[in-house]
Amino acid sequence: MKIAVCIKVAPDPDQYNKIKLDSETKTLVREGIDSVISSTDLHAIELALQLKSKFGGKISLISMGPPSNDKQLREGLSYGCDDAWLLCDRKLGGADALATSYTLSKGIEKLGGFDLVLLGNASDDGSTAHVPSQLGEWLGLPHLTDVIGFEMADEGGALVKKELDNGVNEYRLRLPAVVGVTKRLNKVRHPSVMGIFQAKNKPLTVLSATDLEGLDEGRIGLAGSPTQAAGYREVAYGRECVEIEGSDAEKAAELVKILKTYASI
Amino acid sequence: MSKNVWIFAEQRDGVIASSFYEMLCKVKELYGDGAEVSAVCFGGGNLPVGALKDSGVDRVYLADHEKLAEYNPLCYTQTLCSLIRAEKPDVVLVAASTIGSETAPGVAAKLRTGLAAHCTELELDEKGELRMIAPAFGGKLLGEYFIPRTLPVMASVKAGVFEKRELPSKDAQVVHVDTGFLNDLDSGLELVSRTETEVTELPIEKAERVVCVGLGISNPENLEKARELAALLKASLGYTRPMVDMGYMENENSMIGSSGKMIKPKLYIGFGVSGSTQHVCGMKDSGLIVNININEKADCFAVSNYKVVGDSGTLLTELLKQFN
Repeated sequence: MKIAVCIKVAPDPDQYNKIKLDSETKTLVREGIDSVISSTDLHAIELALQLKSKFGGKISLISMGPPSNDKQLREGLSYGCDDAWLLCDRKLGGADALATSYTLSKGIEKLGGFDLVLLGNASDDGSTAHVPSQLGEWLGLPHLTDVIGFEMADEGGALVKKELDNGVNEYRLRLPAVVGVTKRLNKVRHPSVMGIFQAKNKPLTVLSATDLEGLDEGRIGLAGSPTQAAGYREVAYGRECVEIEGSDAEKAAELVKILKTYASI
Repeated sequence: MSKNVWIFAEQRDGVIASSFYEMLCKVKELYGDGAEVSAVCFGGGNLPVGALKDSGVDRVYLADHEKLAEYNPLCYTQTLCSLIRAEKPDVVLVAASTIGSETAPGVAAKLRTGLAAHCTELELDEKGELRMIAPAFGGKLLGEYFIPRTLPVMASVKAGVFEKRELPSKDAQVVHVDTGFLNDLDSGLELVSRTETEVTELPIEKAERVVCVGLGISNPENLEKARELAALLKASLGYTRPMVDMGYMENENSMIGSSGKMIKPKLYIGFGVSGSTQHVCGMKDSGLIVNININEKADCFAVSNYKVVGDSGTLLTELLKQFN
C-alpha cells in the first residue's frame, strides 16, 4: 500500500495561553511558542503505520510550510514513515484552507500513485477541518472526515466509520481516497530509539512552487486564498473570581448555598 | 441591492435542526428586509415542507432523492453545489455540525470560493458585506474573516450561539430541485450501516444547569459521583475533549469546547477542568460559573465567578453528603 500522510506544523496548543495581540498593531504575538506536529495528524501517521505493518508498502509524509518544518518532518519519519516532502516557497505563504489543499494536491499528484491519503481531521490552530474534504475535491477522489474507525475490506476498498452528531455511520469507501481521522481512531505510539536514529538518514526533499508541475499560481498562497483574515480580537471574560475557603466540609456548605440560590434548586 | 441569502436546513426524520432557526433569526437581524432568504433542505421523502414554508423564509428549495435519505457527504456536496451554480446565491450559511462541516468545504472547493469555519458571530461591514467572526487558536482569540472576491460567501455557524425566536410566516415559495443527476452519480462511498446514539437526556446545549468534568477528576469513581451530583441538581453532565480522548467518554455528544458544543447554561460547575482555551471557548458565556480544581493557578479560574481550590473527588463526596 502506498500511503501519503499530510501533516501540519502548528504552535503547541498547550502554549496557547502565551499567544497575545500586540496592543497597538493588533497583530499576533506568538514568540516563544514551540511548533509541533498538529496533534490529530499523529493519529493519521499511526493509522498509516498500522496499515503498512499489515499490508506492507510505503508511507510518505507531506507538509507545506517554512524550511524549519524539516524538524517536525524528521520527527514524523522517526515513527516509521519512509520519506518526507516539504512544499516550501514564499509564494505559498498566507494560504487559506482552499489554497493549502490545492497546493497539497499538486504535491500528491507529483509523487503519484497513492492508494490512500490520510490527514488529521482538523489542525490544532486553525481547526477549520476544511482541508481533508477540499483535498479530496482537488484530487477528484472520494473523501470522508470525522473518521473513528478504518479497516481494509476483503472485497476491496475500506470500511470506514464516521462519527455524526446523532450516531455513527459506516461506509464502504472506494480507494484511492482521502480520509480525515479523529483522535478517537487509535492510540499514538512513541517513536523508538532506533526510529529516531534511522530518521536522520531517511530522504527528506524540499519542493518549491516551480517543482510542482501545472501549479496555477493564482490558486496558491495569500493571493490565491478566497477567505481572508481581517484581524484578531481579544476575548473578554469579564468575571471577578471569589475564592471559597475553609475545610472541605465548609467549602461544600458554601457551594451548596450558592447552588441553591443561583440555580433555584 | 437585495442579497440572496441561503440557509442549509438540516433535518432528521422530518424534524428541522434548531441551528436552522438560529441562523435564520440572525440573518433577519442582520439584513432586515434587505435580503431574500431561502431555506435549502435535503432528504429522501418525509421532508418538513410545512415547517420550512412557515419558518419566515421567502423561498424553500427541496431536494428529495433516495440518495439523500441518509447522509452521504459526496451526494450532499454535489447536490448543494449544482443548486448554487444554477441559482447563484450571494451568501450560503450551514450549521457547523458534522454534516455541515463536511459538506460546506467540499462545496466551497468545487466552486473555488471562500468559507469561514465555525463562526460564533456574523456582522455586516459598512458596505453591507458579511464579516465572519470565529474562534482562533482554540478560542484564545477571535479571528475576523471576509470573502471579498468570490461568490457565494460561505460560512459554517456554531449551533447554540444565536438566539432563536418566532418569526412571522411569509408563505414561502417552494421549489422542487431536479435531483435526476444523482441517479447516475457514483460517489465511491456507500452506507453500510448506521448506529443511532440513544438520546437519554436533554442535549447539553439546551440544559439550564451543567456539571462538567475534566481529567482532574482522576478516576471512574469520581466520574460516577459527578453523575450523581448532576442528577441531584437536575443538571446535564458535560465533559472536556481529553475525557473523550482518554476513553472516559464514548462520544462527543456532550463535549464542550471550540471543537464541541457551545453552551450557555444558567449554572456551570466544573470539576477537575483545567480550563484550556479550547474548553473555555465553549462555556465562557454561561451564567454563573463555579470551578473546583486542585491547582490554584488553573486557567479555569480566570473565567469563574467562584473558585474552590481542592480535590474534585473529596469535594464531590462532601457535596453529595450535604445535598442528601
